[in-house]
Amino acid sequence: MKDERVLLLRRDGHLWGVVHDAVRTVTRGRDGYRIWLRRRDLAADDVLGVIENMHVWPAGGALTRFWGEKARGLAVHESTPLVVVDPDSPPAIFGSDAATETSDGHDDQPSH
Amino acid sequence: MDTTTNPRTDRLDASLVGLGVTVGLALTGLLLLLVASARGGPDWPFGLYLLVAAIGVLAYLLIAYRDHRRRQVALEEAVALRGEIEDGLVAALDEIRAGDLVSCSRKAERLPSVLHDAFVSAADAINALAQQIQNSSIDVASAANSVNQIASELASGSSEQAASVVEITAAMEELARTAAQIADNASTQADLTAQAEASGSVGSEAVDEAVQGVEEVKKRISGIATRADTLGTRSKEIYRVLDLITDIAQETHILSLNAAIEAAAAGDHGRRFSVVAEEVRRLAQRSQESVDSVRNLLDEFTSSIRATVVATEEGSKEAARVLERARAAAAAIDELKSASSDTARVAKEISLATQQQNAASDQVVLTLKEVSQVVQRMADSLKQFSSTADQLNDLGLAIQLVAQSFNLESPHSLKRLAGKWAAEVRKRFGSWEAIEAMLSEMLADNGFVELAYVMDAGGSQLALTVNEQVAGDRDLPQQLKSGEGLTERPWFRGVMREGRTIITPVYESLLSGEPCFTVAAPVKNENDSIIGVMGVDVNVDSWTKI
Amino acid sequence: MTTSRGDAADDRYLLIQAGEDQCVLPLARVRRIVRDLQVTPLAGATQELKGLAEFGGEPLPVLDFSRLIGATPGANPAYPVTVIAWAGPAESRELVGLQVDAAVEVVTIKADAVVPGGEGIVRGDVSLRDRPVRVISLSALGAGG
Repeated sequence: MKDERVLLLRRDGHLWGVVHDAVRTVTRGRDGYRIWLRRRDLAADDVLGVIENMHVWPAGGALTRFWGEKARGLAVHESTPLVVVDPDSPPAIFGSDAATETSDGHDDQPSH
Repeated sequence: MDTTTNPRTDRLDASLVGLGVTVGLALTGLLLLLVASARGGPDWPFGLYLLVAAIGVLAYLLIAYRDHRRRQVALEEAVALRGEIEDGLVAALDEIRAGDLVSCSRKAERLPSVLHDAFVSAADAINALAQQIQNSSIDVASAANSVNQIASELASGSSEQAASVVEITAAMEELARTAAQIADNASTQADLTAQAEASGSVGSEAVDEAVQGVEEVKKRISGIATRADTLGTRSKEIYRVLDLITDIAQETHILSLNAAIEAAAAGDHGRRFSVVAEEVRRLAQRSQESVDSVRNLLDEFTSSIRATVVATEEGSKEAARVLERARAAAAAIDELKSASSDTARVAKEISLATQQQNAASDQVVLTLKEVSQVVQRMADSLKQFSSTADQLNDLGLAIQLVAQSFNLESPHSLKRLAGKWAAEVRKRFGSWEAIEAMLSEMLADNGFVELAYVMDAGGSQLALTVNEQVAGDRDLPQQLKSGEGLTERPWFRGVMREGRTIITPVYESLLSGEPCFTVAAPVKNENDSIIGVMGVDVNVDSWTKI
Repeated sequence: MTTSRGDAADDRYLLIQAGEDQCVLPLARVRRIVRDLQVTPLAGATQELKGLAEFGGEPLPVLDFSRLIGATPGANPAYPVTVIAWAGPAESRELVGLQVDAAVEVVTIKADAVVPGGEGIVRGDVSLRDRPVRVISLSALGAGG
């Protein structure tokens, strides 16, 4: 368990978290938010904000065994448990597309 | 023969000449004598006179003789002519006498033209009259048949009417008896109704008391139901408390378990605590068990309450139903009382009406009996009429047969037909097969003929053909099969005797058992000699229907 | 908290009801029994994983215990509870919630009374008051279990 800076977002009616270090930028379009990560971008219905020093517990074998998705860990926000997603392998519900990497090492992404 | 001389004139001429000569001579002689006398002259004039007179007398005698002779010849010729005329007239009249109005004209050809014309005219007039009579006889027969049929139908109809009247009369009598029965029943009904009315009043009072009792019961049941409802409400509250206690027991149970868990985690230090936890668990368990026990009791209690409520509801409903039925019974009794009064009144009216109906029925029965007698008399009259129609029918047949006694140039003339058929038989005489074929064809064309047969002049049967439609399945009578005794039959003897077609009177047919007559015609060769007899049996009924 | 000496040494178990079956969990592995634990469903989870819950500020996955062991279904439970326990190997144990039909009592079972057998998290069977009871090993639950 360690404390991390976590971006809270809502997708498919549930609360999720993404470690802020993995977030490049956040954009907003007609159909919601787009969370631009290093190698991925995530679709979100809503972005709640960044929680400083959120306790993130390890995901554990039970979750891995019975969920089938990768997770960075578990956390609790205002008594609500949530999954902190693996930025390199987010769950399928985020509709994530792999971003292409440019020659200078930076990804193509819209400026904000 | 045409004689142009007139014997009377000739006689007159000779007589006049003779008279003239005689008178002349006489006068001349007288004159000469007178002259002579007067002159006292010579005698020679007188002698001359005598000579002349003698010559004259001789001439006269010659003339008279010649005249006489001529007259004698004429007389002989006239006698001969008269004989011929007589023969011809007799022959022609014989044909007429025999009814053969066809041959009579041929026989009259020998007569003088004037007489022939007059005879032929007369024969034609008789022919026409006979044909008219024949045609009229057919009409009469047809009309008689129709009258007979109508008479039969009327007689039948009137019999049916009489039977119907009898049935109606019987029905009316039955109706009268039934009406009398109804009158009696109505009277009895009135008495019973009066009794029922009295019973109804008693029943009505009893029903009123029952209604009051049921209403009281209903009130009590309602009170019980109210109290049961209250108990039900209380038991619900108790259930809520039990649920609360159960919840507390459950929480306590979990608490005890958690305490045991904590005690286990505390290790040895938690041992005493685990004991306490166990006690708490047991307490929770006992509480739960008590709650369960109370719940069971309460369930039973509630079930009983529910049953009581249901029973009271049912009782209340039943009481309401009983009350309703009782009220209905009371209303029915009231109606019954009212109806009984009406029934009694109506029964009396019915009794009176049926008595009146009885009288009317009796009158109707009497009238029907009179009608029956009238109908019966009508039926008897119709029977008599039918008998008269039968007589008319027979008369029509007799007239027809009389008309058929003439041989006419008419398609209705049986003698004419028989003559034609006999001529056809003559053509085939000698071949019985040809004759039978011809007879069969003739029977097929003339359905009124039952039998046709041909005999030779000796009376032997040559051919016999039967009308299958008439004969049907009947066997041919033996007498017809064998042909024996036919020479004694009137039709055979008649034909052989008179040499012409004859018609017998009506008799019963051996074949069909129905009235029939025989038309028999002679079969003659070229010498006009009879070589056979052809006979046909005519069925009267079939023939008159043509 | 006193660390338990391990499943095999501790002879105290929590008797639970799962459908028609009864099972025993090592008491040392049991953290708490709670009622009405709020469970947040997780998209894409299997039928065994009911969702996530929070206990004492800590997130934990909640599992349907009856499905987990393939228990014979029973009547609807009157007072279901969630047993919060440590699952997985002792060196990397994690808190999980196990939804059961009832937590009955704490019992003592000798190790030699357990008849080894079963598969998955079922370690063996034992007879308790003439009734067969399954003995569960929570260390087999979790990654690799």
